[in-house]
Amino acid sequence: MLVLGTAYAQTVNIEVWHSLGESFGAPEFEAIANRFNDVQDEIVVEVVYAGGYTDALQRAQAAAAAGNLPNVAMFEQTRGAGFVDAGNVLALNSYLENDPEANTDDLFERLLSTCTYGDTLYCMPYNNSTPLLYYNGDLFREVGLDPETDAPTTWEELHDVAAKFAQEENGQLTRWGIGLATSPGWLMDAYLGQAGGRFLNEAGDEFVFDGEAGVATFNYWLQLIEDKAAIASSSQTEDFFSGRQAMMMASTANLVNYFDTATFDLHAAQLPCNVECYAPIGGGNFYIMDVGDQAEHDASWEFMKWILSPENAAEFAAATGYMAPRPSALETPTLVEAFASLPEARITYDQMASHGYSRTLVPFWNEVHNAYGIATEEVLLAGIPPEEALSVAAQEANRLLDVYAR
Amino acid sequence: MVDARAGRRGKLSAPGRRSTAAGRKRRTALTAYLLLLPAFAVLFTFQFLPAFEVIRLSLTDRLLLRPDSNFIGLDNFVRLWNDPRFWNSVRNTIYFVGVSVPIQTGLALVFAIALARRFRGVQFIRTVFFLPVVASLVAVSVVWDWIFHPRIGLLNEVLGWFGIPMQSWLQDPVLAMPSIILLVVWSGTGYYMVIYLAGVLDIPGEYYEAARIDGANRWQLFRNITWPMLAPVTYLILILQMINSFQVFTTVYVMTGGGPVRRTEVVVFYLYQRAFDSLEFGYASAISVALFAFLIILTIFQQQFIGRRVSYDR
Repeated sequence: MLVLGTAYAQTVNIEVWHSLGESFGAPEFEAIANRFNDVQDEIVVEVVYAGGYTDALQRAQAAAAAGNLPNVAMFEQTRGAGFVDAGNVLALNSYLENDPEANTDDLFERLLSTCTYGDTLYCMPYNNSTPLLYYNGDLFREVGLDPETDAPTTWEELHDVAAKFAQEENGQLTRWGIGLATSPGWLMDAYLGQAGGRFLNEAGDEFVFDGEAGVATFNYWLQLIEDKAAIASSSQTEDFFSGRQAMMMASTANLVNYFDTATFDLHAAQLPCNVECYAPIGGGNFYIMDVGDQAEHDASWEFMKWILSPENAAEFAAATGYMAPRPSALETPTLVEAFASLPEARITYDQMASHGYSRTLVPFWNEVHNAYGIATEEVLLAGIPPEEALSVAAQEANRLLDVYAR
Repeated sequence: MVDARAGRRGKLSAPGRRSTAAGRKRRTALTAYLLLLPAFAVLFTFQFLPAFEVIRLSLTDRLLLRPDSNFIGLDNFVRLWNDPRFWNSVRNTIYFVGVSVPIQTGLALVFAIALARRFRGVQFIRTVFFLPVVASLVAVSVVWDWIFHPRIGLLNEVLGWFGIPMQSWLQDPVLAMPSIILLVVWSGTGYYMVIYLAGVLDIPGEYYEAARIDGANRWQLFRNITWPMLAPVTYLILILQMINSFQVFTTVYVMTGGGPVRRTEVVVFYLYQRAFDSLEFGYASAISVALFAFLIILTIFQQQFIGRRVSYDR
């Protein structure tokens, strides 16, 4: 009785929210988390699927207001900032510095940058990704290109290659090179960065995406559409996999799935470069929320270390296409084997290590994204000049910067 | 329970006495209030209290995740007045309401009259018309997403048979709102049809019989019996529709996200974006208060100008 009582008293329960869908590694993550409950008996982890990134964000916003946030939460790259800003998140610096098991040196620095605000680290990179250029090898050969050597590496090549696929029927493209999303999400970071621009200036006190690089990006897109190299599309995945669209920029997160399901000769490559090479780092990270007592914080940290162990990180990465955050994970038999059977799984690591960049970490990012999306629609669908559309969007972004500076 | 018994005892002991009658009335009233209490408690906690809180928030610069906020008076309302995006959303909402309400009401009436007759399979057809109402909006949206799909969608396929070129319905700035309206009409009409149906079936058959004996034709039957007899129902439907339509949200949220180029950004969707994207909760509350005030005024207006003409006499 006494022994049982003590054992019970020592158990710490923590709740973990994740946003991984069925095809984004949910089964693997849950298996890894449940194994944690089996290998030790001081901490009991309850894993909860909080819905996709958007649902999970709203759920967490409501939980923050109601004061019942979970111990550990996964947020999409751009959606943790609001909780950091509100003081809901625990800084992890002391854990990283004082816990020898943290193996700080064994973490990709560029992935850590997605969790870094000034000098403070607020999360641990978990299911990180970058966009890749997927392309249809069969279609490449059909238009006389060699899929092994002719993948476009610059904007110019992307334009020229994409233009080769144009096929028309009654004035409408029935096959085309690449799609441009009117709600471009992280690809707007990619193009803007490749054009040499950034959303925020270096000091972080002004949005500058309406500058030269922003305009150049829109003009490039308009050029692609005019030359029938691209169409504005909201159904790229289905168009790509049904063979209407030859190339698609999409996350490495689905790599394994894509290669499993593609009915044609699927290839993948790094994103093309322009003024510079630039790949935004997407996906999600795990945050320890500032709830509960020290024991719960420590237990949460133990759980973080568990899922980030080289073996566990490798298992998750191999099953999905997401990047394991530890370089040492790449040496594990699991990932060595995975790379051997699907070499494309390595592309994202090379891309990230050389030019992967954190997204913009502001609490009101969703609204900046909306404003930029509207500007994209105005330019692509309504013929409004890029300068004008971007300036309106930047004004809204800068207004919010002021609002949040209060 | 206790009150009911007391009431009966009062009746038995002193029939016809005035003071007791008043007492009985009082006790009946008390019973009524007690019976209302649970519902009122729920409504108060989950409807009225939040509504008051929204009014308070609308006077602050509250940001959703930041716990601190300042009282800023009517600043949010001044900003609202000068916010072109708000007025754009008002225009979009009026467009939506102005087109969808007459179509839904008209169709609901036509279907109700058609299905008020008795014929084989009428129950089945009534159910079919009502089905979209009970279907989950998300499931409905998935289906309509496919119907509206620019390349593999049903709508373009069917229009293609008549040589009409492909349209990208939801991505087209001009066609997006009509597409939303089409979906809403499809999914909402059944509900109002059922209300109308009850109204039509409620009209005593003798009126029609008498009119027919006098030689009235079908239009005259409708014009002089059905339509005026349905006036209270029409009035109810109009009020319900106005209140529902001005608050249209889910369809827009799921189908277009307010786009393209903000052409389907209706008031409630704009409110949502302010609350959950820029997280300006104070400002979002101000939009909500403005919408509330507008709907109250609209309902009073309807009561004054339409409600007064409605006859409930039989």
